[in-house]
Amino acid sequence: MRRRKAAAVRRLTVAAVRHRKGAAARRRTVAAALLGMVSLAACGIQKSDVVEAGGAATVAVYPAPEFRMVLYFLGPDGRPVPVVRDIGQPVPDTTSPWDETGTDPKHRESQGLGSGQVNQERGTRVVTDKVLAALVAGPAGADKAAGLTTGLPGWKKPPIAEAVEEAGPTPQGRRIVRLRSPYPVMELSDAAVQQLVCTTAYAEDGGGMVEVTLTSVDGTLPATRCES
Amino acid sequence: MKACVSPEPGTEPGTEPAGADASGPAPRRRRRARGPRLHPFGLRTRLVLAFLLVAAVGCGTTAALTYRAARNAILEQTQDTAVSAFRDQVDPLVISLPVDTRQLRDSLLVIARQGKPRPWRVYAEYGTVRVSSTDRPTSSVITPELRARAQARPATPHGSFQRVVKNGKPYLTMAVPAVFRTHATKGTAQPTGLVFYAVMELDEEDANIEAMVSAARDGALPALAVALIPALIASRGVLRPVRELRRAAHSMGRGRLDTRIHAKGSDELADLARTFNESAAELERSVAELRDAEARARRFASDVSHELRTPLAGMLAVTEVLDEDAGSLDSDTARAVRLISAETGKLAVLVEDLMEISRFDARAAELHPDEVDAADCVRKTLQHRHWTDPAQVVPYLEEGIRARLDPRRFDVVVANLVGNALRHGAAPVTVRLYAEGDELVTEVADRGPGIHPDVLPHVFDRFYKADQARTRSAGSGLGLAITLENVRLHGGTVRAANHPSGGAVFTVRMPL
Repeated sequence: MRRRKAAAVRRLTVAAVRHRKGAAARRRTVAAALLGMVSLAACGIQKSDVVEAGGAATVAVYPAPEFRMVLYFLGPDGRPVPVVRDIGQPVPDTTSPWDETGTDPKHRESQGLGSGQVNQERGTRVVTDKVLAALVAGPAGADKAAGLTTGLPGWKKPPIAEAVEEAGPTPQGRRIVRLRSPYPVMELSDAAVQQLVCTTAYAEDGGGMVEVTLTSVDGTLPATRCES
Repeated sequence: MKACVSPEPGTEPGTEPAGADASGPAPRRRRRARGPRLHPFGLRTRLVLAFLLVAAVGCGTTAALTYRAARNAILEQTQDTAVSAFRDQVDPLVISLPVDTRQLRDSLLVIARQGKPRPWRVYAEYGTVRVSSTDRPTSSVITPELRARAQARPATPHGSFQRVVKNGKPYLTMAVPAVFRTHATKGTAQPTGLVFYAVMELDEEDANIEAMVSAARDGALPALAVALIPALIASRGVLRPVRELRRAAHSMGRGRLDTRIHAKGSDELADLARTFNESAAELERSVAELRDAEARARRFASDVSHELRTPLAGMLAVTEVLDEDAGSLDSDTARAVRLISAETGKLAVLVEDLMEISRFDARAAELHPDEVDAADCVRKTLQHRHWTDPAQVVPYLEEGIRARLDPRRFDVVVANLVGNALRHGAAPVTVRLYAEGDELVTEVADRGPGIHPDVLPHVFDRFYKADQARTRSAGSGLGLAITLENVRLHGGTVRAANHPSGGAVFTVRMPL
C-alpha cells in the first residue's frame, strides 16, 4: 500500500517536473519567436555578401581584329593578361577549312591577322611566328608600366608553329597546333606555357579554338588549351 | 425618576455560546464596510494586457514583414538598376590594351556623371594601373571579396555587387569585368584583365527605409490605442457579470437570501449566474425550513412552560399549606413534605426562567427604559435580596450616575451576577458601579477559585455545568444566559474573566 502511494508520488513529481520542463520549453519557444521577429525587422540597410548580377561588359578593343595581334603577358596576380598591338597593315585571311564563314573572299579579307586566320599557306605560319617573336621579346614599355611581366625566359628565337593535320580536330572541334621550340620547355612554368598557348591560339584562330602542344629537344608537353 | 423595581430574582438562563465575551453584531458591520476594490492585476488589467499583446504581436509582425518586403524591393530595384546601368555604360567603351590611362580616365569621368539612379564614383583596375573618376585612385569601400570575385576567371565572367556599411553609411559597390571579342563572329569573349568598379551611396534608400520604419512605428501605436477599445469592451463584458455576482454573493452573506442575478445570454458567465440563482434558491429553501423547525421548537418550549405554570401555581399554594403544617407531622413525613415543597419551588423558578428565555428567543422581550439613578438601583437590588451583610457583599457604588435603564431587567442582571458569585465563588463579593466614558460599568467580583479556562467560553451557555459530576445545582442553569440576553437588550456587553489575584470578575458595560 505504502509502496503504491510512493509510486504515485513519484509519478506526480515526474509529471510536475515534465510540466515545468514543458513550461520552460514553451518560454524558450516564445523567446525565440520574439527574437526572430526582432531580427526580422532589423532596421536600416544591412551589408551583404558579394552577389552576382548579370554578365560582364563587352568592350571594344582597338585596333580592330584585322589590324592587331594579341599577346599574353602576366598580370600582377600571375595570370595571363591580353595585350593588343597594332601590326600596321591588315593580314589577308586565307582559306581555312574550319572557318565556317570563309566562303566569301571579301569577308575573309575582313578577318585580320588578329582574327587568327594567319596562315598564308597551309603548313606555314609566318604571321603566327611573327606574333610569337613579339611575345618572346617580352613586354614593351607601356606593358611594363601597367605592371605586366612575362614568365618566359629570354629566348633569342621564337618557337615555330605548325599544324598537326594527322590528328584531325578534337571532339570539341579544335585544331591542334604544335610549337617547336629551340629551347628546353619542360622547365617552363604553367603561366609561361599558358602565355605561349594563348598567344598561339588566338593568332591561329579568332575564336581561340586551338589546342597547342609544345615540343622541344627535352620532351613534349601535352596538348593544352588557353584557359585565360 | 422612578424608583427601581425589584422584580423576581434573576433566573439563571443561558444563551448562545458567545464565548466569554458576548458582544453585539460588530463583525457584520465590518464586512459591510468593504466596498468595491481596485485590483492592480485584476481581470481587467490582464484582459487589456492580453489584448494589447496580441495587437502588438499582430502589428509588429505585419509591420516587420511589410517593412522587410519593402526594404528588399527598394534595395533590389536600386541594385538592379545600378548594376545594369553601369554595365550598359561600360559596354560602349573602346579601349586599348594595355590601357591608356588618360583616355580611360576621360571615359570614367563621363560614366561617373551618368550614374543611375544616382551619381557614383567609378574606378578601373588593370594590372597595376588604377584609374578613377575621383582624385583618389581606388576606393576603400571596395572589399577584397568583391575584387576577388571580379578578377576570378570563370567560364562566363559576370558582374557582381555588394552592399557595404562603412562608418554607418551604406554603400553599393559594383564590379563589372570587361571582356572583349577576339573575333567578330567566332569564339567567346575573353577577359581583358580590366575591371570596372562603381561606388554609390545608398543614403537616399537609407532615408526611405528609415521613413518606413518610423511610419510603421507611427502606425503601430495608434493601432495599439485602438486595440484598447475592444479590450475594454471585452473586459467590461466579463467584469460586469463578475461584479454582479460578487455583489449578489455579498448580499447573500448579509442574510438576504432572496438575492438573484439577472442571467441573460448563453455564455459561461450566464451559466454561472443561473447556477448561482439555483443555489441561492436552494439555500433559501433550506434556511426557511431550518427557521421553521427552530421556531416550532421554541414555541414548543414556550407552550410547555406555559402549560406547566398553572398546575405549578396550584402546587405551590398547596405546598405552602403543607409547609405550615409540617411541624405537626411525624418527622419522616415532615421531611418528605419539605422536600416536595422545596423542589416545587425550584420547578417554579425553572419554569419562570424558561418562559423568560422563550420570550427572548421569540424576540418578544421588550425594553422599558427609564431615567434612573444607577447606584440606587443596585442598592435596592441588594436590599431586596437581603444581601446587606458586609461580610457577604461589599458595594462600591459611584453616586449620582443617571442612566437610561429598564430597572426590572437591570435588577435581574445585578441579582443574577451577585447570586451566581455567592453560589459558585466565595464571599466577600464586591459590586462596583462606575461610569467610564459613555458607558455604565457594573463589576461583580468574588474571592473564589475563579473560573477554569476551559469553562470560561461557556459560562453564558444554557444549562452549562461547570462541574459535570454535579448534575444538580442550586440554580436553574439559565441565570447567566438570561443576564446576557438582558444586557444585550440594553445594547451592552457582559464579559467573564479571572482576576489576577484570584476570583471571577463579571463586567457589564451598558450605554448610559
